[in-house]
Amino acid sequence: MKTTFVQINFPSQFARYINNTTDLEFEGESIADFINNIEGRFGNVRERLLDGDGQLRPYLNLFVGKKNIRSLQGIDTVVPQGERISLLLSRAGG
Amino acid sequence: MQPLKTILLNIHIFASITWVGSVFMGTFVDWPAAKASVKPGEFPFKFIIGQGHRVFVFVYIGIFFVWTSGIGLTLIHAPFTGKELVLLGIKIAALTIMTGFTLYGTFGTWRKLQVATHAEAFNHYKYYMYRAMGTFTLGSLAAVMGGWLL
Repeated sequence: MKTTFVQINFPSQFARYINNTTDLEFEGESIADFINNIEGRFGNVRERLLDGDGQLRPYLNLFVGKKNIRSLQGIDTVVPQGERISLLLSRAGG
Repeated sequence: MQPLKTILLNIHIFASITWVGSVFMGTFVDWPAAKASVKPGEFPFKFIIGQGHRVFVFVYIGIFFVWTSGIGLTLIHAPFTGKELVLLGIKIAALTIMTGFTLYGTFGTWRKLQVATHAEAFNHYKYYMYRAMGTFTLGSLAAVMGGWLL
């Protein structure tokens, strides 16, 4: 199976659940493969990102490079070799 | 000076209603309804985070105008007697704590909540609710102090 190397840029609120990892290589090439990989390595991660339908939680924004995966193919978006995956949280609170 | 005072007072009251009203709605109305709309043990992420995202702008506009109009009113009608100084002091303390609670929520709780598991989310939100109830109570207290200062 193809492996993909990615850089990771996640906010500290999430990065701590993946031991502040800043890059890794995973089997597969999509965001779904990436999430499955970090779930396998670190555990307890998928529930934090995906809703009950297996889609990215509606207020989370996951970027491949500079593009939001919502404007691409969602979690089926293919991640180019060496690309950066970033997570942006929503502004919220009162 | 009187027209300016009237304008500032109206801004102050409207901003207070926006801020404290948003907190009241979120705490006492939306949360029980949101919780009842999902299965037991599930945290209503979609509703709560969606609501927090929408209320964010209104709350911070409210905070900004409460403080700026309040400073303006204090400059126009500086506290003179000891009683007025005490009332103003209580009001400033209440608003400072309320602002602190809100900032803590924005930069702490709500960011953690977005990537929390269901079990963690209930825990984060429990403490957020305590602070929200504190904000509502202190906001009501500050409004009463403001009324006595007029």
